[in-house]
Amino acid sequence: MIPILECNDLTKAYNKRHTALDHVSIKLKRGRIVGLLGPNGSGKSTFIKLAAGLLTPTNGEILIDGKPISPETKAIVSYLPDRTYLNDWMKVKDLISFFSSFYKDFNTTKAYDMLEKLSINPDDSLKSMSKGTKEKVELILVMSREAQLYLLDEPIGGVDPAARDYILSTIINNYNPNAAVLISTHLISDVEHVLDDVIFIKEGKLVLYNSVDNVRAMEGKSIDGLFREVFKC
Amino acid sequence: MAWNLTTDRPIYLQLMEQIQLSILSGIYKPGTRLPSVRDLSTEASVNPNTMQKALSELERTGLIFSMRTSGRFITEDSNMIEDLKKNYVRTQVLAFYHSLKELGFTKEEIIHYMNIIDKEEGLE
Amino acid sequence: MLSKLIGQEFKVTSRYFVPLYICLGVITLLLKLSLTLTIGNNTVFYSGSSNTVTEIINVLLIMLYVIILIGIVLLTYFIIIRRFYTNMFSDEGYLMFTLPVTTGQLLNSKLIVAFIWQFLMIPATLLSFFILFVNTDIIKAMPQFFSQLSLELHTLQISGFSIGLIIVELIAAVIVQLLGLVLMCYLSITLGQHLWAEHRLIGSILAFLGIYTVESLISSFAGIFIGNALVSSAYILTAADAFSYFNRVLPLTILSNIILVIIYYVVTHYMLNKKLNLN
Repeated sequence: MIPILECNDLTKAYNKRHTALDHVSIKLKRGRIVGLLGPNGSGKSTFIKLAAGLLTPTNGEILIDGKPISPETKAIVSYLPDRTYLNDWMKVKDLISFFSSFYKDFNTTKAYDMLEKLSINPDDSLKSMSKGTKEKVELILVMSREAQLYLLDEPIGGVDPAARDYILSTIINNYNPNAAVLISTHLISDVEHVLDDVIFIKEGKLVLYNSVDNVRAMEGKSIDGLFREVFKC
Repeated sequence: MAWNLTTDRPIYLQLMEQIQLSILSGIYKPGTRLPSVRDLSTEASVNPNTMQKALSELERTGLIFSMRTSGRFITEDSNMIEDLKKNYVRTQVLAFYHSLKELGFTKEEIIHYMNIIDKEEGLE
Repeated sequence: MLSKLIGQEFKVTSRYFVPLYICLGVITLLLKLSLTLTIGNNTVFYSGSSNTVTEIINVLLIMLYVIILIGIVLLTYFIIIRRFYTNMFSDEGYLMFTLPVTTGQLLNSKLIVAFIWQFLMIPATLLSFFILFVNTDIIKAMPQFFSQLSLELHTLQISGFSIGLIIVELIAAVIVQLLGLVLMCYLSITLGQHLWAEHRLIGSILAFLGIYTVESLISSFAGIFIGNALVSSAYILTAADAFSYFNRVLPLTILSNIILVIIYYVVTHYMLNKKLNLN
């Protein structure tokens, strides 16, 4: 089975002094929800941006479903950036038709369902929404795609606990054994119970890649606890 | 049902225990159908794979059995459930007993206090 | 995919251009109205026969008209450049570069729409002038004007001056020039991102100046050497001489501009494809 995401010796250096990712090699299997964990600036965002095709590697390679980044791979990857990336004046329904026209795997019914459950009016423009609602809309757009790889960059970072629960339960609910979900976050205790596997990234290097159950059994502590140990300041 | 999960032990083991407790307490009655993996994992807020693992383990012990297309069912084997109950009481009592022992109480004191409290509080 | 991108480009840029052209329409009509009321329907030029207040209004309206015309030119380029920058290199880039489209399609959609908006300035301004200056006298004179014009053109044609060819060459020159201008801006912005990530704006301006300087130098040299070699004499005695002059210089200018356009396009495309580093 070809891993849905594979990187070999993936390196991204911005200049002599700043190497964001240092020879990282990982194979992500389908059907797994994986946490990409590390402190701010450890290289998590860089990794996700490389997988999304927003950055070009300095060295090494990154493959989606065995192929290099191309419009073909972008069609099966659903990416949620760590910032608002949508035009503010656009209405939700405009965004839905935009996404569904570009992505064959976009499920419009699912999108409208989720909006309804959250009482979000499709005629509203993003500008008129609170930050939390905007982020929920962005999440709905990403999760309404029946993609094979979901890249979520800090999806629960700036939202309240209730919204966090909603986001995580959406991820669980959308679980598809054919797809992999990569969640990058520094809020570990919140996501721990949702993850199959965890990846620890420290200063651009891979320091751990194991299943949550294995780690808990071996270390006798939570991922959050292990994280605090590994990344002690 | 509130799923109480701690963070230091593998989740699937805790899920197994919670399901066992639900069977003991009558929330899941013998012979009845369990909710789907998806529903259970959403309810418990856990990864579906982890829930799947827990259910597979319980299936292995025979507490749960699956009928290919109809889903998973609790066993009707009352002996097995009896054993489960006995084991649970045993672990709970031993844990309680040892925790008091560690504080310095003797066995006689522990049983004595249990009787007094029963009379006073009318343990029901 | 390309048509979808083009559709989206139009949708977004129209929000700025449509009000702009509506303004042009409004000021054209206002000015026309004012001129017609104060000067009358039968003269084109100001004849000094109205009172001070209307004079002032007319002057103000004319000033406003000119400002709007200039504004349209400036704003067209401002909108085009800003759209390219915002959509490709700011947070919106996170959306655009993760769409299942090729870099070429992204670039082409922007280029095509930018070109159309640029081109639109020409007929829009012409239409505006026409509305302003047309009156019953001119309309009456039109058939005569056109027949006279075709007579003149025919005479020229016989003497060896193919007006058709010249017009085609001029149109081609304008098209290539407009494309070149937009691509020069796009390339500058793209280079600015790459060369100096912390100070993109300055980087882009420097890149633009750099490209412009290089382009000017090359065309000056080319002009000196090639131009002289072509033009046997600097005297244009007959229409045929003029024609042969234009017919040699224009195609060469067009060709060199096409080469520049291709270079700018290829470099921009390469930078966007292989050297993309979003923020």
